[in-house]
Amino acid sequence: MNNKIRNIVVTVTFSLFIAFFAVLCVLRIFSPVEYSDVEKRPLAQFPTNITVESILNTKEEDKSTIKQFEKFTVDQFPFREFFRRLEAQFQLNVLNLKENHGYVQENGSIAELETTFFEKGLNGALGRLQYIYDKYLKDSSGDKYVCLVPDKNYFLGRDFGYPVRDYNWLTGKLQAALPDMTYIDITGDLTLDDYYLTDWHWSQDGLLGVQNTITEALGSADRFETPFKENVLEGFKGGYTDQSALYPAPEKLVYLTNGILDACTVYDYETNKTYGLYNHELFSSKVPYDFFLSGTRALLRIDNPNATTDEELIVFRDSFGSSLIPLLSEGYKSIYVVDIRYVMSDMVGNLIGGYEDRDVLFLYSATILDQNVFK
Amino acid sequence: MLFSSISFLYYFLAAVLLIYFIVPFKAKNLVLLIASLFFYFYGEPIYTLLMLATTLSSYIHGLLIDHFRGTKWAKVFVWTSVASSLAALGFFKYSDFFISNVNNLFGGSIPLLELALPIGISFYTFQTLSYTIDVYRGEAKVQKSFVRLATYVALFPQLIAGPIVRYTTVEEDLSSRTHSFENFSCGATRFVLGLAKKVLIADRLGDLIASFHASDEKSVVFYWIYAFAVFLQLYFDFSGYSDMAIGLGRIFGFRFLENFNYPIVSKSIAEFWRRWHMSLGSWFRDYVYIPLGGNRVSKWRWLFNTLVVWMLTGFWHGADWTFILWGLYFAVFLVLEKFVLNKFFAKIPRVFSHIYVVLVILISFVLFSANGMAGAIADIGGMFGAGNLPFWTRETGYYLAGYAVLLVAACIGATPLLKTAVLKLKEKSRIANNVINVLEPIVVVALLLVITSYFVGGSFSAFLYFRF
Repeated sequence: MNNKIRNIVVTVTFSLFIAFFAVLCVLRIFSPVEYSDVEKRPLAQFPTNITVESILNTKEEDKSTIKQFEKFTVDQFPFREFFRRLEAQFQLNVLNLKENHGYVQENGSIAELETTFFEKGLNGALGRLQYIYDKYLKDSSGDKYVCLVPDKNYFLGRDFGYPVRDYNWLTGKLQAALPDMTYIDITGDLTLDDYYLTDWHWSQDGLLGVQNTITEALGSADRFETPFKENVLEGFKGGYTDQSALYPAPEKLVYLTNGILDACTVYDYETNKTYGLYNHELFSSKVPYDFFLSGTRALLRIDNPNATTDEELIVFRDSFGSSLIPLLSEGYKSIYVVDIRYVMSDMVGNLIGGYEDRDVLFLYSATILDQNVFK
Repeated sequence: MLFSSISFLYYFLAAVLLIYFIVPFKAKNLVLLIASLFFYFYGEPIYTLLMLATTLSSYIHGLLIDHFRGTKWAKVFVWTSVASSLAALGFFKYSDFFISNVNNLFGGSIPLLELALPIGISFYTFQTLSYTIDVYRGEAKVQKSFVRLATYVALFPQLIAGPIVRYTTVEEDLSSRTHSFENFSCGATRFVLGLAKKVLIADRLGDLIASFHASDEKSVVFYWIYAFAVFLQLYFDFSGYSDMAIGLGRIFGFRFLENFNYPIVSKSIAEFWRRWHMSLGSWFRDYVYIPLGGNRVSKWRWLFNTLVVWMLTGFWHGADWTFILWGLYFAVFLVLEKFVLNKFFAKIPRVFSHIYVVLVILISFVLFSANGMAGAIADIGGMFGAGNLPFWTRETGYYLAGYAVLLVAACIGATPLLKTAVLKLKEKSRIANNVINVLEPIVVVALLLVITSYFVGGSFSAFLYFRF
């Protein structure tokens, strides 16, 4: 190709490229996409209510026509997912950078890199846990425990040298806030491999060490005798699959069963319905991790008809508890599973009827504590 | 409006290109003027009036200077032109600096004006100054068409971050210019390369700099990584913007002068400033340094001239003492070079003069980017281990490993190695020339795709030179 032809080809190519996307962009003004399933948020729309004031305003996001238009152009750009994917691949594989919009990939495992705690949120969450302790547990005779679930960040820092949040500081704050509860350290039982590659949660088959540490601490370890059987569901797509724009291959979801667990029932106080520990229907939902204990539920009771004890356990938990708590079922007659993100703390006492002789476990991940989403 | 945005690339530029190349030549300047005013209005609605007023003032002053040429009134009008332009620049850019210094000095409490800095005011003020001064000097013909003069001042490719295009550079292009496939293709390629420098290198280095600032585990090595990142980010950001401006200008038939010429390869600070922000350096040379007497004066007068020019150069970059100090810092090295260092470096291997330049400019840009004088002292101190800083931390290793490829690529990209290799290949072999010609449109499209992906990912950031 000589220089003359090169000039024509570059001119035409550049012009067509710009023109092609320009036409698609303009078409989006008339037929915008309203919601992004991948990002789980409404997409910005072409600005309406345009006034002289809104045009002259270039500072305030919600009042400026120009700011709203800028957001519209980005949100409504055609082939949005293709471009998000291209950016992620270029960032991580060509520039060889470790992060793309806060997502990192280590040993095939995707994680969000967090370097600081939101202290205000954390203090709020700890205040809520203190409130529950003071209201319900202070005078009860049962034992009280608190356990921090390390998120993937912890292992990125501990095992791979990433600059992450200070978990020692968090543990110290948690213990200081709840000084009369026994702290259970499970960090030694876990590695990054015990978490899904495509999700922030831990994988149930990696939790046997955690189950042992917790039941040892609770004094119920000798009641666990029945071995587990591993079952596999193919095609698990965790929450990071789309969010990170890395689109890794689906993985396996492994769940553990035995005769005791198969016989357990789960009563949902909200719906007055009874389920099994695992909900196969929800595996094909948008959040396949909801397979465990049917996902986000305010208040559940797991009943074990084959229990060799009358002891009961109350677990205040977040979603990490969904896959761990089934493994604790064999050691108790009943386990009350409380999620104070979805039920008011003040109502919990009336619903489950007293705390006197029951052991209580607070089981929370660093990410949830950081956000203060408790009611 | 940012060049590095979807709104610019796929709405504004697409529309302007379409209309510009459809209308007859007579209407092209008007199209560019309207487009440029919209471009400015989009980011600074109110200050568009200020820019138009500055342009109108220059237009009238130009006519008056020309009309009274040869009389004392011509001199009066050139001075009123300079004074009015500098008054506007001083009021909007420097008033709070002077007020706070007066308050500090005399313990006063004059309230700050807290005016938003009009985007690009430093650039277009210097352009209008060059116009009236050149008309007075007889180096440029007076422009009788307001549309043409306003097109020159407001021309959107170079309006908000330079280069500082002299009126004489585009004087002929404003009345007759060539539109060709060669101009369009060279301009488009240059624009895309500039955009890539900004989005794929400068902004990514910006992420490293943000991580450095957020780090609680800084080390001596981390400070040096930061220093390299700051210099490279500024270079790729600003030279990228200049590439985009020159490329867009070429698409529309204008030939702007180069603004950067691989400053990292300089062997002295004097050479560095002949290669870095060349349009600013030459502006100060022609409109301040030479009128002060240049170097054809006594040693002490030359020293004074040098200090004045570099203090003003620093002050032009920002209303803060760190910028003034930054300018004077260079003046000190220019003086040292003239009297001592040039003779010394002439006797030792060339590599040492390169190391010297790199050290001086790394420290200078850490000073340039510092948050006030206290921040500058802390940052430069950190580079030399002040405050019992550890030599190395785990976090330093993480960021060095994470950004190694980008830093090495940026260092290589800041030298003329790649450009020289491509040009040599094209010269030596016809086949190589043809292969490179085939690759060029592919590279342009590939870069546009990747750059667009970063826009969609929402990772664009404001150009650093906007604040000047």
